[in-house]
Amino acid sequence: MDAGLLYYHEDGRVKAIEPELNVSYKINEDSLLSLGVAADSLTDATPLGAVPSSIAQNYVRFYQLVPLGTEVTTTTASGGSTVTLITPKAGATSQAISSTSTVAPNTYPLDHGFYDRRIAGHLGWTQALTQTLKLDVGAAYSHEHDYRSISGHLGLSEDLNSHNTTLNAGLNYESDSSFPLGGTPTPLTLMSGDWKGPAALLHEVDALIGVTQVMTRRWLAALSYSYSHLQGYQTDPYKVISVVDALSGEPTSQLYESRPDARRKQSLFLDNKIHLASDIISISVRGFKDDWGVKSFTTDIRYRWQFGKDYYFEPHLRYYQ
Amino acid sequence: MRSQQKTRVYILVIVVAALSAGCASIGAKPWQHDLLAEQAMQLDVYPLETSMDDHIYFSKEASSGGRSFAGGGCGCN
Repeated sequence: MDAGLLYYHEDGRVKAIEPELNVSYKINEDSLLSLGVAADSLTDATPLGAVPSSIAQNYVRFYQLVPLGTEVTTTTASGGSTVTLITPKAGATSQAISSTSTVAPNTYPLDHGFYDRRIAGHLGWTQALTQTLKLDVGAAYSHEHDYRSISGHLGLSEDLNSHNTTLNAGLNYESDSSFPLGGTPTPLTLMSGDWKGPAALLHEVDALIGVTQVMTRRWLAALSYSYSHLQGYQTDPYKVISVVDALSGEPTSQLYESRPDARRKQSLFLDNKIHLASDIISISVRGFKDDWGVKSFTTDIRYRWQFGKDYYFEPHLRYYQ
Repeated sequence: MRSQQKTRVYILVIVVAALSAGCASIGAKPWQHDLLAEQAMQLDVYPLETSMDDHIYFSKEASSGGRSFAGGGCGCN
């Protein structure tokens, strides 16, 4: 059993609290069952994506759907915004209430009413098929008030050379559904508080191949290549982009952001663990690129400073570019 | 930009070559797996910590994955 609590806070921005619990149960010598649950709570401010202006800017978003003819008695919503009833389209059976908040001049536009909660769980089964061949299957589920994700994976690993070499390969499929508050906006349309489109889907297939090699009695190395293909809705429905005046540079309007439907990602990952007299160094590097033009290089170094048998101190350095 | 990438590749090759130097024979005999069998020598010692870290990196950076399946499973990106 393994339990942890993550607390993450950026000054003036998002705050995250995430408790997580993993349990592994060895059924017999050849089978291992594992399951885990996690919950997230994200609060505070997140960037809207727009640029600051020298004058006050109004940001509008959907607030609530109400039956036709409902009288709006409240004038303020959370975060000090103003709510307004939107005139329904002909034939509509309900009407929307929008919420408008004002961003002060020369202030970076943030969404202060941001709140998200997520629950997630995963289930895994590892089965030794022969002395050297191992099968790994699993599924995961996560749910937010505006997002749902289901995934399943299958992996095989084979030990060679008296357990000095392990080859592994895996496939993962994930299906996500996004149902934002206020509906899914059409990309590059004007920001509005009206009800928008239905839920949007995203499908992802990932493949991974790798080799783990015992280099010496004290050195273990692993190299893996992964490829992912994503197809579907990958836009953040709450983010906007500013249209700016070519001469003054001042924003004139806000449009919903637009990201391509397809994305192909590739990464190459090299991991090393080196056992010194009692301390252990872990060094990993990752090269990543995708067809959206993102290229990155990540270095991760950990030094496990062992104090006696039961205690250690592990500084961690990560560089991402 | 391109020369920076080349430099990185050279550094990687030099590091791997330097680490490989002196390995007359790769691998360890079965009776030499004592240190490798330690929990702290596993590639992913604390999967819970790894998944929490990866969740933050996934939501903050445009890159993800590498070690295992990226599987964000959330609309936080």
